Amino acid sequence: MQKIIEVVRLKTFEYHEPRTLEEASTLLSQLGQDAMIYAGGTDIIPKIRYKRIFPAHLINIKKIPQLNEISCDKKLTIGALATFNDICFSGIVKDKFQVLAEVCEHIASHQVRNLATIGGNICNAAPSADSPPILMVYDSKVEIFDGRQTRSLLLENFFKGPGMTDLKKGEILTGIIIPEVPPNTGHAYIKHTIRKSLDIAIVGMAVSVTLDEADKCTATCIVVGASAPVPLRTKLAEKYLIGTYLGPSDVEAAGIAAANEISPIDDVRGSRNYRCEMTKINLKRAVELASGRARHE
Amino acid sequence: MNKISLDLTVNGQVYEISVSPTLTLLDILRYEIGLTGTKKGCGTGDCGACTVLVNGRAANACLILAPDAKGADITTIEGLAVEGELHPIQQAFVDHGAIQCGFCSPGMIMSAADLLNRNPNPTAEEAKNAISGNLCRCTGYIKIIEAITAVNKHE
Repeated sequence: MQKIIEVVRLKTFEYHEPRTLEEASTLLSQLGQDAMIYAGGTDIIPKIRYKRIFPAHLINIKKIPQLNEISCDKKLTIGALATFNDICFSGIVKDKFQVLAEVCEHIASHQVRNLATIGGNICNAAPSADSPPILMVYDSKVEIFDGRQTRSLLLENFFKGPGMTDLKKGEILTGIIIPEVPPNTGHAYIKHTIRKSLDIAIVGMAVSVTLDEADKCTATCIVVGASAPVPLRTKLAEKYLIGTYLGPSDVEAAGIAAANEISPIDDVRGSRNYRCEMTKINLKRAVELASGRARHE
Repeated sequence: MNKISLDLTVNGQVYEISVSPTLTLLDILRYEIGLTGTKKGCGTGDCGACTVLVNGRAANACLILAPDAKGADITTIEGLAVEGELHPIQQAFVDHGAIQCGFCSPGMIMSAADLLNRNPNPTAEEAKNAISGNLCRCTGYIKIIEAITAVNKHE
């Protein structure tokens, strides 16, 4: 007897499983805009289910070897297919890029972190994504393969808008390179959310601070997530901190500058005004954390 | 739509099946193999009702496309008890009354099993983190956390 079961199937798509990057890139070029890369699947499957995207072709790149490797030779190289749990459980990352490990440990849920890839998180280009701000303050570059050669690009220049990136036809993000952390440098990421897990940032605030021997700030990078069409580096705010001793008035001025630079929207998670206020407050908290860590380096 | 052939091991038994690549591992478990202990909740990775162990690691079966299950070693809630003897985490859920309507229980128990494999004596905070991707609509979290932290304590 045949059982009649109602299965809510995903909309039909053609499935491809290339074995090399070259093959994947050729497929992407040939199939054009109807094709999408499938990696962790944690964003793409819900989007297909909610009928927000209708890919005619899914190209699974997980059969391509070595794309999930994490290695460190002064600089840290993370393969695009490394999952968030691969990263936060990695001894190298925990040891030398501690704040990145901490951020990865608090993305989504444990089950999702076993599937979701860092490359996917970047390529989705969600303005609220957690990994881009912290990767940007670590001065990360992304490596992009076009079928013939690899180019590298500062992550800061990769994002072009919500869901939009610098990836051209046939290009695939293959890895992330993080340079060695300069001495006396500390990092921090504050994710402002209602729930600790499985929640999207209302404001994400990533900061790096480099201090000299007298605790004067010689370099800083401030990136605000969920508050602009892209994870936004607030360079004006940084100017208020460089050359100072990070006194309360300096940090407050930087917070006001950052709030002026961002262009948040009103949505279900928070209003524009609330996001601006939380940017000022979380910048202060993140600078305090990062500078404390820089002093202990 | 071309079907794909895949073999996967579920609870120690090897299955060879031919399915559409648009199915998820959850669909395969429930509708192809007939193991309905793994629940279908949101279908988008938010509720954790479909949590299974894939090669020993907890994952949402609703987020894994059929071809990615090829060659995988899957453990579902049905695979925890051995010869009719409940797994210690299942027994702990019973002993602590950590079950109300029961819909979230398979996912909760699989997340807890994953945690206990990594960390046999978790704190309440670690237990909370481990089940943070599992929603209980009855809100019976306290008993669940008590059960998870108690598993290896009374031995």
